[in-house]
Amino acid sequence: MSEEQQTGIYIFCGIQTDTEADEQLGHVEVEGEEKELFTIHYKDAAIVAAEVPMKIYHPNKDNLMMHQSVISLIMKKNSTVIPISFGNVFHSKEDVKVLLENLYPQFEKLFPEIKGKIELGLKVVGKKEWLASRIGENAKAGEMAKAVQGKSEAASYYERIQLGGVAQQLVTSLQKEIQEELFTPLKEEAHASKINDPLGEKMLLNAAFLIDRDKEEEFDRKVNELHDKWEDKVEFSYSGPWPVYNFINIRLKVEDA
Amino acid sequence: MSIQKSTDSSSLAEVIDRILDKGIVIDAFVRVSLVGIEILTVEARVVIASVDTWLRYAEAVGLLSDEGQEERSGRTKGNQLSPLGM
Repeated sequence: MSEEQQTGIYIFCGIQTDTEADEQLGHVEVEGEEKELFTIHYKDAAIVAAEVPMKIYHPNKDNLMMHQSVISLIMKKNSTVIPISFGNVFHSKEDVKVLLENLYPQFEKLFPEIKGKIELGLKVVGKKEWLASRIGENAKAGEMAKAVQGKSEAASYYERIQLGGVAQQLVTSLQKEIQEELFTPLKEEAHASKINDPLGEKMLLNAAFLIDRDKEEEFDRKVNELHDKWEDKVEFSYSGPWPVYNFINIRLKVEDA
Repeated sequence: MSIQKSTDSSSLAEVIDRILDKGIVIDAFVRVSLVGIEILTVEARVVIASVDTWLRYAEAVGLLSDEGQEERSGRTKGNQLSPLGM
């Protein structure tokens, strides 16, 4: 490393820990270079960090996966992990310590809430045939679709827009249906749950659940039961365990000194 | 089991969905820049005009044929925004 190369402190996550001593956390490869992970402590809290070249880290695939893989690794060793978003580099360990001191009141409250818990994600996407059959039941949409058929896209421009509006209403009502049929029973099994905006028009549910690590298999079973019931109509995309990203919402503004 | 969970490292889209704007989010200091973002594969993040959205809804439920779809997606490519939105 050149002497002039400035370094900064990249932070990954907060943890609860009894020991002030540096734990052996392992290494992370940052843009081709192996860096040692270390912790910066305050009371029973610590932030997991690495010393890296001071620069802007672009959210490309390698960097994103680097961030996620470190948090994953820490989750295997520690049951109380508060994830931090991608790409934060501080000037010095002292700055991170100040940050941690300021965050501590929130950490203190969060630790018992998330101890031993994981996040599981479930996205539900409607199958095209099912969506088409559901809109086929809608007489108005059928008529409008017929009116559009055979016309050029330009000639039927406004009709197509109206048709799109009807289709959107249908998708919205299907989203409600899926919420009741799939999300509600799963919500009852979880400590907490959250619905995010669907990504794309065919997605009917984009949900995250906060689950006790011990209850993961039970939750898997429940998801499978629902999947068996719905697999002809929708596709499930079930993922995890994740750090509890969807259940931590701390926004910090750091002002220039 | 009929459905398996995908693990946290197997899907870039799932990772992006979480680590960019969730958890503890810090503005200012050294913040990621918007230049050079490689998320072109994440179609869901595409921000498009409202009329196009409605047409896409219609396509999604099979009301419109797929003709013209390519043209539209070509047109919206320039509008890809980063999920950072800042």
